[in-house]
Amino acid sequence: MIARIARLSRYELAVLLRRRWLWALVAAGIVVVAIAAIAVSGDANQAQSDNFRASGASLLLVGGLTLALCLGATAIFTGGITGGLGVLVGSGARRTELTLARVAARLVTLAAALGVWCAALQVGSLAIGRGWDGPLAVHVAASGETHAMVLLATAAVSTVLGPFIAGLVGLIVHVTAQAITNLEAAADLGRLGSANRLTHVLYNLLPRSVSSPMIVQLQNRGAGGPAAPQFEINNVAIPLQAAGIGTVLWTLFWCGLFALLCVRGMRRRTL
Amino acid sequence: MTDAAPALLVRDLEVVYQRGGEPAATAVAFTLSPGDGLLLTGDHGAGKTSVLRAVLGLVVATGEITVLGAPPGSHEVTARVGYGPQGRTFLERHTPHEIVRVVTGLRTGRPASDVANDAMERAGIVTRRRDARTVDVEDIRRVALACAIAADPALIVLDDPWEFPETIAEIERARARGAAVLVATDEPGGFTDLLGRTITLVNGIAQ
Repeated sequence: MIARIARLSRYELAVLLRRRWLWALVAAGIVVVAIAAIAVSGDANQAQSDNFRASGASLLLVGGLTLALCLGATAIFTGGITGGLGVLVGSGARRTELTLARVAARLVTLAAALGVWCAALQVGSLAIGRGWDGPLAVHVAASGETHAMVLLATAAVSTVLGPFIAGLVGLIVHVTAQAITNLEAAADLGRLGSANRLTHVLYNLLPRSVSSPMIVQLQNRGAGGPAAPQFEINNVAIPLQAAGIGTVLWTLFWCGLFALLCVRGMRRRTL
Repeated sequence: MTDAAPALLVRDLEVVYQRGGEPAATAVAFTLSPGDGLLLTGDHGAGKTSVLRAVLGLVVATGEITVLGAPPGSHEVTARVGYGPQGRTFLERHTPHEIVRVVTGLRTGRPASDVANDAMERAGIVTRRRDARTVDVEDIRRVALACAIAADPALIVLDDPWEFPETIAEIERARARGAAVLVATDEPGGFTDLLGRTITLVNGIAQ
């Protein structure tokens, strides 16, 4: 079964790698990193580090989320309409194998794009004289996990609904995961009044965003840039906390749940 | 017709895409023995593709369907069925070589490039690794034929095939080796005589 999924994944990857928008997006990310490195080259020590990292975080948020939504939204629905899935299932591919293969190919593509941007960021960091940036690499991994969850959620919806609606639902999942993570920090400090308890319950039920130590530090200092602004309630800054192992595992659990929904959604779909 | 167990048995088939909606095909019944041919014809939207999809397990259908002795869509069966889909979009952005190779791999359980190449040659595909965006409609119809005949399946299902000399030759060849052939098209042409039996669908109902 693994060999068949791998074969179908390679087949799907061949098509994904022919999508020009994908290459354009990855290239645009590299250009953004280059511009950011040039822009911060004249800054003082701490500001230089903060600004470069904030630019990287913005790229990973906007670029990574765009990738996750676009890849997830085209996972199943379009293949069902074109007949591309039908010819494979009609030729002996199990629906489960095909679903997992298409999702796996997209996760690999997302990981590869994030890897390229991570490499570009490290080269940028070296170029401005700050050396290898470990915390930034950890942030790429944390963003990657959140984006993978969004991709899987979008793909699950794409088994029954078109790309636009699937993308919209994926975006809602992302916003919800980020919001509940921030609100939990406020609830921990008792800043939400009667909503504290409800927030704790929702935090333990809903998907969460995986916040890296780097982005939390930047946010708490108000240096996260537009992608990671300081979190405030009633003009009072709420200190955020980096995701622990519990959140990492919880997000993986949601990844698995969305993958399961993908498989379930494909089971009776007309191809 | 032969006395062998049927390659395909369809009784009281009904396909409904939306709950409570009009059936796309209803009360369709036929039997195909090994070596038999059957042409499903009718106007565009008559339900021909829905019947084929039901046989292949690509759509939920009611009624009795037995494909090579098993329910439609079961893995053991689909690996012995050759399917050439209609239209031109199923190729997505794959090259002819990629799609025929993966279909062959699914059917044979191994990366059988030699079998895929043989199928493409028999289907008359000249350029195998051409950029998918430059493949013309005729080539795509030939790719559908290659997908259907690769690895010599026991049942060949062709949806809206073009009447190439290669199509005619492959249908004759398949029937001669004992494979059943089911073809759906709204332009019967030479397929009527070639396949021997015809069912005409009108608004999803067999006439």
